[in-house]
Amino acid sequence: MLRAPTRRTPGRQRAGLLRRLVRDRVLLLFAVPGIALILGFQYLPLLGNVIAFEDFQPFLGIRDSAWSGLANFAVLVNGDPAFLRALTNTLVLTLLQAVFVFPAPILLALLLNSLFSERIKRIAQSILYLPHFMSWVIVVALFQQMLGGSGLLNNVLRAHNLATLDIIGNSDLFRVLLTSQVIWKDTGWATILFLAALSTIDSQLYEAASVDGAGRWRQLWHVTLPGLRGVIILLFILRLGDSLTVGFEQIILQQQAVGRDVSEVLDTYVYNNGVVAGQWGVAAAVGLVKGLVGVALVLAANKVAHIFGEEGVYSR
Amino acid sequence: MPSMPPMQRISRRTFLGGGLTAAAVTVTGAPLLTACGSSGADTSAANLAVTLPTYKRYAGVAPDLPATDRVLAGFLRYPAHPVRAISEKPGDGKPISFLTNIPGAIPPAAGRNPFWQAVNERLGSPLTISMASNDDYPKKFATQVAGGDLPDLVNIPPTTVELPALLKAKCHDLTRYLSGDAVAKYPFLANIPTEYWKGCVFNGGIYGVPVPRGMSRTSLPLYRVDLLAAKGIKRPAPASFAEFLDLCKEVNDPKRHRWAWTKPPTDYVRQMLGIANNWAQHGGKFTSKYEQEANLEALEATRRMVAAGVVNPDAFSADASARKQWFNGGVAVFDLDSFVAWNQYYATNTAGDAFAVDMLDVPGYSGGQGKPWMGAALNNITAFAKSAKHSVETMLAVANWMAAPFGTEEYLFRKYGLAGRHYTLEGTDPVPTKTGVVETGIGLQYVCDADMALYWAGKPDVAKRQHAIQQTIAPRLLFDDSYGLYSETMSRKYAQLSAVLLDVENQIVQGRRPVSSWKDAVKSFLSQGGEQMRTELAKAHADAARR
Amino acid sequence: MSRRRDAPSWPMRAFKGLVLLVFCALVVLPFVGVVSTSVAPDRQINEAGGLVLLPDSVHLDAYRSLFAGGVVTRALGISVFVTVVGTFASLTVSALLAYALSRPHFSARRPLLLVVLFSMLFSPGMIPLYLVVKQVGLLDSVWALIVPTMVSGFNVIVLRSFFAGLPGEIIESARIDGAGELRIFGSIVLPLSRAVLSVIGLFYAVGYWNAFFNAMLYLNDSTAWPLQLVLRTYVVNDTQLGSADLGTEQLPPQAAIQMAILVVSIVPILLVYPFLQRHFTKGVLTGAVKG
Repeated sequence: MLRAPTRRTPGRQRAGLLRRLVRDRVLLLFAVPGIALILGFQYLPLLGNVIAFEDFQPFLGIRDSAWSGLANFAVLVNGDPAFLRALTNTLVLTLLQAVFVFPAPILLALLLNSLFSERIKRIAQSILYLPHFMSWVIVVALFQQMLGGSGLLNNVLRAHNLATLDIIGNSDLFRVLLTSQVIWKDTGWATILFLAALSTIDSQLYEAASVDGAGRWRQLWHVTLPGLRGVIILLFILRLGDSLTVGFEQIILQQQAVGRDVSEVLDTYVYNNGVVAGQWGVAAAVGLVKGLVGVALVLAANKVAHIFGEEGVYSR
Repeated sequence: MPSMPPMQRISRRTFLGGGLTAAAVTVTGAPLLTACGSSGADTSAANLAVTLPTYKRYAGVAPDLPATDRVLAGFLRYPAHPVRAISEKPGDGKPISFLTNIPGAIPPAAGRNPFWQAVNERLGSPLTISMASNDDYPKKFATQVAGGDLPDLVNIPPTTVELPALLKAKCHDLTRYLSGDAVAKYPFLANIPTEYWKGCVFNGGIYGVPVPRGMSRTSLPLYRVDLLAAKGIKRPAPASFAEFLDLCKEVNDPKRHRWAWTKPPTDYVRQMLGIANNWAQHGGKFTSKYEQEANLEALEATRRMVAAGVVNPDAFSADASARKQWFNGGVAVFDLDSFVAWNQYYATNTAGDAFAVDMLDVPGYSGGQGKPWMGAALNNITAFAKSAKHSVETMLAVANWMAAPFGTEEYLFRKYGLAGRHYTLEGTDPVPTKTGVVETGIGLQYVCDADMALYWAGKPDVAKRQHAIQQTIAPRLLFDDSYGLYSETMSRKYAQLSAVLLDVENQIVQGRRPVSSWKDAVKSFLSQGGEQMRTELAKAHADAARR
Repeated sequence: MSRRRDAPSWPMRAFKGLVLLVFCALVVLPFVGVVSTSVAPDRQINEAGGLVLLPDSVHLDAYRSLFAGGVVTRALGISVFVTVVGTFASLTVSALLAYALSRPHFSARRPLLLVVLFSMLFSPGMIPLYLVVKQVGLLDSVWALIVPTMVSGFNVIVLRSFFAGLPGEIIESARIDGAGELRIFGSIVLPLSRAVLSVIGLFYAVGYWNAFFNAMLYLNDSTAWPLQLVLRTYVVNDTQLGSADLGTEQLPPQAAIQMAILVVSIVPILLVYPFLQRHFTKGVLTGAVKG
């Protein structure tokens, strides 16, 4: 697993490297437990992804299942309209999430941070993080109970002879609904990290800015945002690596109502055509490709960040 | 089924058929299997050569309402002084492990569960049960198989891909213990009608014991008798789709938070139109229920129902337990479900004593009679792992104990628990307590089971109504002609391809796609595997006919 | 923040208040429904179609039946153990690793960082991971709920990024004073990073608290199941089967119990949060730079 990285280490410095490793033995020791766990429970099982090249049957096991070459990957290239539909939907949803979901906690964190009253801030925070602890099964059920055709809102409207609102199960609104659900569930929770980042901004910078006559907006622009920039870029790059993943459970629970045309994404496609049909090989194949795409995106995004003089996930 | 003749004389179609589940469970061979390990003996011909266990009806209990080869036995009250039918403890003293899904909440563990302890005591072997919820079970099962960690008794999902090869690799061939008269040693396994055993034959041998369902899973519209009565409607019997739709409209009242239906009853309309129960066979040629022309009419009709607003608008968004709440709470008046669900509605009733359920017959679409579909034959099969540390005889004896039928003392204990703690006796009827419901739910019914008996403690009318409707529909039942035949392609692709069609159906019914789009969907179903299935089924059928 | 900048204008304050109020209401309203439904009579719930905002009368039956039989109580104990021990272990291992990776002159930094980063992007298959857990001998052990998920690449990378953002001068001067890595880590880096450590600790804790899948796969004995897996059997059943199956009367899970479950699983977090919350926003760097 270390192959890729070590290749980048120039061979000519082997002796020097050894000496430096000895010098860094304490830091190495620090890293050992974590790295060992990652290698053991993330990379070692990854070897099991050879089933991406097999007609894997659990009772035969990894070793005895029949080799199937690239058959499991065929779906990625054979232009299967159902697969292309899933890919398109995934990308659209990822884009929506990047535009609406990603900034939401940043804005909320800034808003909370700018609050005058420490108490209101704490209370609001304590309320807003709650939905994170609901499983999607419950969230989806709650949305249906509140906004569905037979839900609370429409009951009230119907009782007053008003027109009902078709929100849940409306395929035209499905993307909006998904996005709102994610915002509702996770925005409060996601502010936590940004609030932690805000707390690391040296308050002297605000004082200095204030002395220079900067108003609140200019302080926001010149002190707060630069202070958050590092973590925003970091999280954005990491999210980018996950571009091909958009809320499997949330979507599969609502797929029946809105139909696959708008709701099939890569993960549900794998589920509907791999897991349901016992085709573990197909699931592994798509997973492998998703991982590779993720690596490419992260590395590229990191490069871009470096070009703009940012740290990104790691510096050069 | 008291009057069952020996299996040799009944034709396959006179008895139980099945839906999707039954079709998938009869994966009786894997000649095309690319994987190693299978010997190539897994053909339909080899399977037909197996002599199935000889059916011998248990004569110890006489039902109040007689069974036929289709109608289930009914009981108005639990027989007084139930007989203890098994004298010897089936266990061998060593722990027996069992892997199963469970349909409800997790029960208290053996250490804190008097019911479980009593089961262990009576079995003569402690039963250790690993459980997973219905949703998680396929994953749990796959990892246990892959890890070589199968327990002694395994609940095998009917939809498992490459089932024959799996069974051959991991489980005991039970043929010599059960075939023909050998089964007589296990009288309650012998009491399971022959047709159910057909789903347990793989690789030219009997590879498991059945968990039978069949007629109890036949699904037609259940309705709230009390709610219809409040509208002045008694014993509704619409004579056509048009009358049926009128009935729905009459009971529909969205303003008062009431809809006619929990979900669009497309399959009910299909039954009005005489569409096949899964696969129909005529002259050796197989036809899928999806490809019949009448589907367009069925979809158009159901679409009209949705457009007319007689279906709860959240029908597609809500899950099964929410829909059950609607029915119980009177948010919906009709639900398309089975005799099992009928009983469950009584169990979960919150509407008071007036609450009553009944079932509609199927009229023909424009008059005359429709063709009700027989329920899927099997819930699952239970196989015995080769790695088990018990003799096959011991495990069969345990299965035999689990199959003791209604009316025996074993059945009373198995389903209701211990008197006093788990149920109270009202007359001779066991009425479950809350503790009873929680503690008895340990999944015993998936080891093996007797045929369902029509019975509801304290409400003899329930059994009477159930028996009556079964008698009405029995002569017209349509069976799944693919039951008992093997198709490799069906094993691998049917679940996946049917789900695509269901998605299209849902969209059409909700008015988002034109009815005509069904034709394209069927075309791709056929080209992606349907035609192949048809060919394989026809071949298996021809093999069977040659014999 | 203890110090305050110039007070904002009142329209701005009103606007902010309004946004917060709306957002909070959108969260609170469904929660009122959750709590109400958990105590409402079954009949009312069924007639409402599932969710009740104002119960006709208050019953604790759902909670009583949830706690009857001791299954939930026991599972609660296991979840608390796994969460407390797991979070502590995770935080220790991750902070050590993240610190090593944050040191600019650490020679193995880049390759190890990539190892951590890529671990986030590939997911090991369910079956291969099961085989590894089995090989290590963790099956049917409560440690199977902790060890395989002890290190999260995401959390390590976030921690590392915060550590790397600490002013280098402080660490350098400590080094010049002769402090070893352990000392620098323990007495400078950790105290300065209380906010991010509490956040990452919370991430881990919530991860452990919410996890059910590993327990389902790795623990055959349901007496060792954590709370979320036990509760899951109440909530997600029946989504696949059209009708539940024959028992005597397997009750389909009632909405009251489902909502009670939600309350039960959230309350512990609700209790812990305020204690952690104080640390999230501690202005840790104030004054530190001057030192």
